[in-house]
Amino acid sequence: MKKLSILSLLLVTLLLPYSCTDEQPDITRPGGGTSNNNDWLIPQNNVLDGGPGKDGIPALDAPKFTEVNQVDFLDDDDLVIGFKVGNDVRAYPHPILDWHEIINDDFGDLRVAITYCPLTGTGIGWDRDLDGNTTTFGVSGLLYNTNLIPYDRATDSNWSQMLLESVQGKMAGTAIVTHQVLETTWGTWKALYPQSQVVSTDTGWSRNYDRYPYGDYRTNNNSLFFPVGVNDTRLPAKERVLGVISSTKAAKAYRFDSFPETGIGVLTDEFREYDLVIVGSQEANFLQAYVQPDGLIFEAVQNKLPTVMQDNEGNTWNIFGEAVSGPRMGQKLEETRSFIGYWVAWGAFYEGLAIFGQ
Amino acid sequence: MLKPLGLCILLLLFCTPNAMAQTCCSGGVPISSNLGLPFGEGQTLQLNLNYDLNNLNTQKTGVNIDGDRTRERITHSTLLQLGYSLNQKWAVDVLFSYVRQERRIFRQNQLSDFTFTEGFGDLVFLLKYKLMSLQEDATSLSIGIGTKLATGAADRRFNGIRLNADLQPGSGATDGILWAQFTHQFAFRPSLGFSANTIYSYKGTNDNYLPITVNNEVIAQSYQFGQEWQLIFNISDRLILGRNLIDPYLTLRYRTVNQDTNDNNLVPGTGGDWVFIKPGFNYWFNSQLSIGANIELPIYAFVVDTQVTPTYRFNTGIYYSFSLKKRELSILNTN
Repeated sequence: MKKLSILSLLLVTLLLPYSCTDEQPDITRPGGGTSNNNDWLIPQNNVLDGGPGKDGIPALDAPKFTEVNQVDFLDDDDLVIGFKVGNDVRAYPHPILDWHEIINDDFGDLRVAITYCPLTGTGIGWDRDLDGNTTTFGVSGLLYNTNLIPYDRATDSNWSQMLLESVQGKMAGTAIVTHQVLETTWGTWKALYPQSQVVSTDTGWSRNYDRYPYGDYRTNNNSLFFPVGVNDTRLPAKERVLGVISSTKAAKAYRFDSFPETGIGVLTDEFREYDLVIVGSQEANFLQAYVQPDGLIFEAVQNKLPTVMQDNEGNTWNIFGEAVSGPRMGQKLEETRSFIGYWVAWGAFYEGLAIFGQ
Repeated sequence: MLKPLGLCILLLLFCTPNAMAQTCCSGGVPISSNLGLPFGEGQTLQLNLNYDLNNLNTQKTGVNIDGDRTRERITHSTLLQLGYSLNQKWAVDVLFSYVRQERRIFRQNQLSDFTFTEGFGDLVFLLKYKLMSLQEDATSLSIGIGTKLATGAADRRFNGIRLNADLQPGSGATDGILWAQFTHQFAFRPSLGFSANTIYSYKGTNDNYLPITVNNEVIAQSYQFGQEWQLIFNISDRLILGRNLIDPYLTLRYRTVNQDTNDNNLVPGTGGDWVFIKPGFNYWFNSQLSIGANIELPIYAFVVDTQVTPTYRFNTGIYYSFSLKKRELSILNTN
């Protein structure tokens, strides 16, 4: 009898794990959203689980900042994403974004999320006010064309970072409002804005910010952790290019190679509804695209960072497109929906996109 | 006798991964570490049914614990191992598995996400040969060769989303396995036994990894788990407590695994070296039937990059063996 009891107990132990956890446990989802919706606006079969899971890569909320001269965890060639609202200038280093991907931040009444995908090299400023409600964004753990899918915590809707719209959930079809950011090296950033604030490594999370977590991914053109729908081989997969997206969701790529090896260069281009002025530098590692106002003709300004352009009216313009002297002082060039990313991602999302100069 | 022994050792040494290694991202279906039932008399059938729980919620970078316990991976496995000894030299093992993979994410100390898959795992065959047997089997050396077939599900989805290799019940690849075992019973105390096992798994490639469809064309990657080598030392004894027979044992397991590759590129956050200690016992109802349990704890772990790595493993099971030869005799006698 005793032996039978022991055997029965063991059999129950063997079967227990499979009998009581068939369904997902109750998980409180802000906004009442659910991950069970199948209403994807992109092919659901091509949405993949990246591995860490939802919030497995923890977004930062209310980040702590430090002074430029206090930063000791960045090398001069590390990339940062810069954002400027008036005199409030902040830098979001890639070595922190590599581990968190999203930083929810406030600039007074302006609430932004710096979204960054390490697998596509895309850093974009998103507005956190959606339909009058403020939200924060988290990392869904899902990928489309190897690109980050953030989710908003207000409705639990999923968004495509590079398509710039919600692709699943209550907000599906809603476009995100973007804010133009600057991606450049830490060395350049220090020269541009030595008085700026920089996100601190005191994030509340235990991560090794000195170490890039993806091996040789940034430079290995053959390495993709997840498949992409279209593999456009016109450029090396990991070449960083600036893409500009039109209102009709067409895109055009601008290469660093189109700018001089030393100093700053300016070029103009017509793309769909835009007359563009693009300022860039291989040496200082930045590319920015703005809408060119009628009648203004730009040329580069050398060695006066953060001033990078001047025009035929006598205005000078900084790297964020702000007139810092001249008759238009205080005005700002119209932003474009543009950001830097790996070519492989631009080629996958905007099939056959034009490349400037080709 | 020494020639095949030397060949066997050389073969295993040459096949040892030449870099550091593996992963416990691959949640850990405990297939290879459970291989190798003991040799029985000729025409003996053995049955071993186990439940194995592998809990991973220790995040490490290299050898350092990060102190972040927001991610938890659990692998539940039910393993049915059948062993048949053809004679005193040859035996074959077959291992079936049913696997449930779970992933939990905690945010602000609350469960924020839960993902699971389950299904049949890969099927393993192992053919074993006893190379050497001394002093009425008090000392023996056996070798084996086997394969793990890609019978397990490797295309599971959760909420319609395809999951990566780490969360699949099966690997989608066929592996080769080399196995060797040395056993020794001490003369001064015949119930005291020592064994050493070594297992090398050459991992095959899943050529249909994460397929996506674009313009009616299927695009997939080739995923290969890192090559794995294990060395397992075990010491056991028999205690007689009244009318109860109990075999306590202590196992030390070293496991080293190379980094996984995806389209021949190294996958970060995979690969490493581990040392585990595993105390356990078997309780014998009679000479044919026993139950047992053990818990395995890591005492050293080096992981490549940052990984969620094993925290503990619990295993319990039933073992039963019977001789088909005897059964035939008894049938004859009955007739």
